[in-house]
Amino acid sequence: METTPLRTGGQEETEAVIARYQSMVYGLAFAKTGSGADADDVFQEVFLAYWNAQTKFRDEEHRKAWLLRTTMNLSRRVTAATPRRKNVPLEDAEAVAAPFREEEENRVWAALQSLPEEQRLPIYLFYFEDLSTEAIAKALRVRPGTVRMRMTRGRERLRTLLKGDYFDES
Amino acid sequence: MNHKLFASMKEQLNPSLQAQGSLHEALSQPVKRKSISWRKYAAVAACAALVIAAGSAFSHLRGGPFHPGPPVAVATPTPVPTSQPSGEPLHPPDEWEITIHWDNVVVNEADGLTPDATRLYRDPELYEETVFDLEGVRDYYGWSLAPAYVPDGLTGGGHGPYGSLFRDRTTGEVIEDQAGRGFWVDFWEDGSPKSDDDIVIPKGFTITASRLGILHCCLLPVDQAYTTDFCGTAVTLSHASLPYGPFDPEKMDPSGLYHLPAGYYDIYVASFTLDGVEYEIQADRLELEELIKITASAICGRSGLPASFTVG
Repeated sequence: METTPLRTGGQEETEAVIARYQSMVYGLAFAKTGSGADADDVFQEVFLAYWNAQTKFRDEEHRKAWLLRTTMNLSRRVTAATPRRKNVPLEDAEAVAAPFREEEENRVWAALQSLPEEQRLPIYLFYFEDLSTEAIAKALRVRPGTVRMRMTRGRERLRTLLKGDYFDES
Repeated sequence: MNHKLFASMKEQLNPSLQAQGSLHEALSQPVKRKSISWRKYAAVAACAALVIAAGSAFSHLRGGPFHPGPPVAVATPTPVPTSQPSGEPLHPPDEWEITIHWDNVVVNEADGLTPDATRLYRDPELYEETVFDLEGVRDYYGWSLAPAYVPDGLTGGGHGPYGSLFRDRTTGEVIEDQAGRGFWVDFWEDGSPKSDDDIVIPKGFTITASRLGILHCCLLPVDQAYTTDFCGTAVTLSHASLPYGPFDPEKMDPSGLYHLPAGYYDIYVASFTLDGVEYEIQADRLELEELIKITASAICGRSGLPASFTVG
């Protein structure tokens, strides 16, 4: 696997990092803000911050953790700046422009967006980003036990909303 | 789990081409270099040392790495008006009724949180973290945190202890050392507890330990508590009752504080200090008798409860 220098480095190195992590950053921002436009803004701000910080990372996990934390912080700032409800009722969420190709995908995403943020984000990071409970705990700055409990509650609500085992054990 | 579905959705989660183009353009501009790192001049001047101390404290409170940059302007708080322009004091409208439920007001003793209610975060630049495993817990606490008595139907699910030990990188001092284990009726694939019946709250218990003092990230609405003796060790047993969902969006709970829950479940907690270690055993949806047996097996006999042990 091609490695990327652990220092932010020049534009070429940064572009490589963006290519690797843009989906993660954008997806987390979208899950948090519920808005594609806001997620675009967060995406740009995160990588501009990355570029300007010129940080040297201990390892790839450190870089990834830095990007996740920065995405969380900047998403919070965007959310605070824009008047909005904290979570969107399912019936309203479905009325928003569908971001995915398939109807089922949009239904799953709408159900996810209807969860309170504290349940939505751990579930998103676990199922979409394949993060461990410990990594999620670090990104969200809560205890792993708290992550597990929130995921349990979120999964129960999703099971009721989706009437299917999308987020259950296979 | 629908790997294929999530993978397809993930593939579609990308910033717009416009956003990508704008970013690329911005990166083409000259790099804005960091302002001089405070770390380099830490030993040089007393004023720099003060900046470091303030920065570290700020980093701790903010929960993130300290990013050197332009100083943050401190806004002068806007005075809250206490009178109208006419000089008459402000009053709420007559139709307002403000009710305070004093039994739901507690002193904020959630010492596991920062002032802005986020979890305490240990900056890896300042603190070295060692994640507890079974061997680590045995070494540090002298046992595995698995009590000899575990109620029928509960298991550890193959999961060992959780928690981390944090050391100050400069002094080597341990500043946080909390570890725990959970025993539940069932588990999700990620290790989180899972209910096996119609009630969403899983049945089981956790045991938490710390030599420095257990950090709490939440407060239970304890309605009963008493202290008793287990084999010469004082144990405080307490009870709390919490609602569980689904919550009826059309009706309110008698307290008027939340929507009517599907029901309420019992939480019993046993708190004690043994051999210099603080413990809390919290049982969700278990009978008090079960908590007593668990606690007794942890304090009185690691080899198990005698056959003649009864609660009464």
